Amino acid sequence: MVAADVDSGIPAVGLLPWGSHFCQFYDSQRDLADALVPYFLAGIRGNAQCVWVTADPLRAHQARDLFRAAVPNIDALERSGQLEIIDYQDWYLKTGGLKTETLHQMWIERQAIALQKGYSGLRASGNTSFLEVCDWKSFADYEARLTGAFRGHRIVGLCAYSLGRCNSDSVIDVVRSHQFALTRRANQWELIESSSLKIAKEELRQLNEELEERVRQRTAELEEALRMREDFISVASHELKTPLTSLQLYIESLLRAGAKGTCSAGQLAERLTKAKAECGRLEKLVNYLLDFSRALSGQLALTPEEVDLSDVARMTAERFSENLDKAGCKLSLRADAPITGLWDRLRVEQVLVNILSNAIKYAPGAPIEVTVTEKDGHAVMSVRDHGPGIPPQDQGRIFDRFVQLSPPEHHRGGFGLGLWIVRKIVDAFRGSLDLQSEPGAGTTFRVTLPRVPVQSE
Amino acid sequence: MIDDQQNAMSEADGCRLGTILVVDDDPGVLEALETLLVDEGYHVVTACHGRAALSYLAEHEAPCVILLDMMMPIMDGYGFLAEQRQHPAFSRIPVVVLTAGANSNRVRALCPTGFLSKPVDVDALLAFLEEYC
Repeated sequence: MVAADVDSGIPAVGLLPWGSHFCQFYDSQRDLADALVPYFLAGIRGNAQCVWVTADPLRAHQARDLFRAAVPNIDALERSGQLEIIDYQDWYLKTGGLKTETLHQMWIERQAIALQKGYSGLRASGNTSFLEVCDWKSFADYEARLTGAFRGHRIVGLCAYSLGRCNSDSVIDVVRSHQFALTRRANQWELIESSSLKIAKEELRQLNEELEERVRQRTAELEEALRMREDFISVASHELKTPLTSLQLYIESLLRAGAKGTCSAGQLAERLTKAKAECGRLEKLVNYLLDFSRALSGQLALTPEEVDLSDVARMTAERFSENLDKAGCKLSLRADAPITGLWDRLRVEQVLVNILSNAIKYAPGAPIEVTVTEKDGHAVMSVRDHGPGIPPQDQGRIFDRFVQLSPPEHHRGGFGLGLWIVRKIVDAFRGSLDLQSEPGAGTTFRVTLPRVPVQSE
Repeated sequence: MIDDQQNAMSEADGCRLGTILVVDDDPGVLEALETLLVDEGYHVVTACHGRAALSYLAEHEAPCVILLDMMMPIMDGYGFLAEQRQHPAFSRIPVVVLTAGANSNRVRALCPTGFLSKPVDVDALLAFLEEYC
């Protein structure tokens, strides 16, 4: 692959990829000198081997003098072979045995030798003012062939054409056989590119920009996903280790008390009961992780049966009353009429428990209202808390997995999966889930469930 | 939450050794640590976050050792250590960090007297306490 760009030395042209083959239309010796001297100086700077084939109106000795003004050690460069300035007659003598049909191969071979000698590539220029003595047609074919031949090689070629000597036909041939043309009009350098090349370049530039933007976006997404996963692992290990620590401390205390013979039967029973409770906590956490893994692979098992949502809400509130009391949250329930449907009872309970757990975690000490109603043939369960509310920018991600609005250091317990699992269950019932919240004014979660059986996919 | 009742009870039990302040947001862990340490003859007081621990320190005689959890709501272990440092009387109290998941390099950079991961190596914990109480 030859991908890197090289400096053309000509400001109007700028950077060029290796393999470029372009032409210059000149009016005067000055036009030639102003393009070719900086062109070859840049070649020398870039450690390319430089071959400058000259012709009237800028002959080798004149080119050498111009070059010397910029690079005093030109003789050393020529002696070392990095720079070759040669008149076309001498060049013709050197290469006269070659036919234009095979001349492009000579350039490829010279490039290979230049690379062997440790140069970065080959930079060449030829003046075609001698062409009146040649066969134009075969030369134009040779030029066209060069464009293909240079591709993929570390060669840059600039062909100089005298505007005064070109007729309109040959101008068209020249422009067509080069990637682009350089000319100076009214003292300004201009690049002439074919419109298809211009369009292709512009499309490429746009594609590149889009690609870069996509790479930036994708990288940011991946980094965010990675960060969330790391946070989750840290939170999950903290959550699992906490009851494990209590369990282990109770066992240690029993072992030590047993060894000292200081443990009463009452103490033994009390500590074992507490150890058992910690086992229960661990089991719940592990089940939670299992639910997470099932929901992730879309395998939340649902067993629909006829369920009264009002009844589920009453039973859940009762069973959850200890947690509510501990958190200082008073729950008021409005679920007067039975609202029946075909749902999985345990999963519906889980939805309410997770939303309530969220409320007591973020709004301890504040009342909670649960209502179960019917609307447009759907069952609607809403849970309103009086906590700090959810900032608008977080409302979109609150149901994503691993999301916890407090930073990990201020961790309030849990995996950050509760509301995500709620969403997964509601999705499985083909229901909908929305929230209304304002900072400082609490949050209302509303679950809407169709009362018909879930269609299996 | 400072357990003054426990304070009174422990004194009535006639504990042999010094006072330990345990700071942890998990009631299960607090209770289990307290059970173990009281068995070992220590007097235990508890706080459920850094802010509560600072209030305790402001109003009571300094404990021999503080056992500190890192991940807590309201004021975490990092916040507590930073404030404790600022206070000439509190900064002398040895702190043993007990953590289940905090970044150990970040904790060690704060140079606590001791650092133990949860679940806790009880022998190592008791060795620390014996040294400072």
